[in-house]
Amino acid sequence: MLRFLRTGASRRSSEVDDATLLARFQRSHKAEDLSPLFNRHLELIYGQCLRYLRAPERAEDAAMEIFEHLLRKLPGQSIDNFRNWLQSVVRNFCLMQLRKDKRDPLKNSGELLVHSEPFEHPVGELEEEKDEQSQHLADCLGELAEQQRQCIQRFYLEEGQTYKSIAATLELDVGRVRSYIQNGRRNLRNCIESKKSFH
Amino acid sequence: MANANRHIPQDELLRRYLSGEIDARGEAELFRAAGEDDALAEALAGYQLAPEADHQASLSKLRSKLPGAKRKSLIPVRVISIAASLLLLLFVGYYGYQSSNDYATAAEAAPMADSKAPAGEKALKPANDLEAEPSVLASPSTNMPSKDEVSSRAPTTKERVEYRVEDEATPPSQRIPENVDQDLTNTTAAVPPPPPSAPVLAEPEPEIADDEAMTFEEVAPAASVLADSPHRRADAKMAPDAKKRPAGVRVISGFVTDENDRPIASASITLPGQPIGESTDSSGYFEFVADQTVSQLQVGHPEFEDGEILLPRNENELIINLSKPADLADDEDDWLMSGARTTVYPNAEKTSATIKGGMRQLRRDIQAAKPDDLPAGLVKVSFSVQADGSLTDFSFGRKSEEQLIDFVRNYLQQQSQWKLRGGSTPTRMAITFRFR
Repeated sequence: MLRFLRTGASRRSSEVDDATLLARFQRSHKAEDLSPLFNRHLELIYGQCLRYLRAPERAEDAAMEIFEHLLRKLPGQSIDNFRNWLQSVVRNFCLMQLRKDKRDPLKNSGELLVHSEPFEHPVGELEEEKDEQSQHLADCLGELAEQQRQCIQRFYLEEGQTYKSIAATLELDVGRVRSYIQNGRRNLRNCIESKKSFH
Repeated sequence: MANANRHIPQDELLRRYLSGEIDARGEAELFRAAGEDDALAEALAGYQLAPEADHQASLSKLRSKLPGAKRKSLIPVRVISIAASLLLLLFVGYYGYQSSNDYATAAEAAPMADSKAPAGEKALKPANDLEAEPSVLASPSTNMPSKDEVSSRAPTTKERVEYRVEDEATPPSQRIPENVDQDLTNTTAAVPPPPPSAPVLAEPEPEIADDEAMTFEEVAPAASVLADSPHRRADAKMAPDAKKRPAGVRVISGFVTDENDRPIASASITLPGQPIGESTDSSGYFEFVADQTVSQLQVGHPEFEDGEILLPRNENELIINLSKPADLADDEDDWLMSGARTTVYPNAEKTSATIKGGMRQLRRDIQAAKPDDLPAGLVKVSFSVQADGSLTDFSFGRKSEEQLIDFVRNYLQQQSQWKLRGGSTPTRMAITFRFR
């Protein structure tokens, strides 16, 4: 019984959908009722702010300003998909900020994510291509900086390793490991592509 | 609701990325998801600008500034926990009192071995042992035993305490053990070994399976009982196992069937891009234990068209219907295009979706309607058919041409007529079109 109550309760608290939380806030107009909805999407909001504003401090300020903005704006809105709507709001808010700064918001944007995608499918369909790529991969791994190589090898070639576990093993910050993996991956991709084009 | 919850795995992956608890598979899944989700892609691009920064600290700081966020999210769970604990204590007290009376009576009648101890004190001790144990050992996962059970069986181990939940519904002699269907299943990695004390029953009765399936609903609320006995039997097998899963794990189970609803044995169930997974047993049943963030499964069999299943968020039991490419080969348009169908019924009432004119007609028509200037290529589309026949929640394979995707989506929405058969639960369809 207790188990049932617990699972039921946790299910309810974690799976209340956006529409319900939104309706609750739109009824009460209380900041406390906006918090759960905002909190749920905070990783996305802050990450988006970071992408446009490029500085953690600015992103933090922007996120709080967006909260205030939502407090004013949400009550009168009819929203079907809160997540999509929120994304537009955050993007527009950040673009407005940048317009004030007279900076180019889209310069180099989106480039970083694209870097990672080819790595998801690094191996071609043909066996020959596979062998060639494996050889390039091995060569390029050896050319990486030591820390990057260690992180990349552990993360991608050992089962079940996480940023955290590697950080503990190598006595590094999690952020540093994340950085080594991200940069190592980019360097690997560049290296493999240059070798492919050379051949 | 389905829309809002569809993003939970991605958001969880992003949290793991930020906390450092993500592994290589999770990272690949995160990047894949970001390719289909603009909000996630933008956020991830933002975090990747400063991979070394302690984003968790920034987020915590922000969270601490939100008005009442912590209090609001914790209170309901706490209140319920406290209420449940009080209720439990009340039961313990009540049954403890009842049992002590029983023991006191028995003690008065029976000769005492230790003459020094007064009968009343001696009688209280076993009663306390009996009742304190469940609350300490298994409080999150057990019901309180009935009075009859307490007097007839004396649980001394955790295992016995856990089994009482099932025993309440089914007498021990009829209870279905976990290893009943071991000969039918290949899911060795996913299924923990049965407890040695479980009795063996050769042919379980379907009625018993019903009870067992109901206990499983506590874990997977979507479960309901399927119509035919092999399904029910496997449900029964699934129930006790599912209770022992650790948190953060998603157990997806179901049946893989062909177009005539016959089970497909030895179909492989894997994560997309992963070579190793589970396979179905002779009744087409599979059980796949995955991380809670899993959003897709790959279903394959040499004789059938592969299916990539976009998992419904709140459904863990599926019936996956594969079709044979050979069945479609006699179509006159096949040299132009083949359409294989993978129907996923995300519900046990086994609703299916049908299209007016049939699938072959759809393939003919969609080919005829395709403008010549559109490129050739493959389009993997999946969508939900609602009770009113409308199509929602479209998703497309990433490798498809943008123009083909738009064409297929528009065609399906505007030109095809769908309806549900056998129920009203929205049904997910997955169709592969090959424009050659």
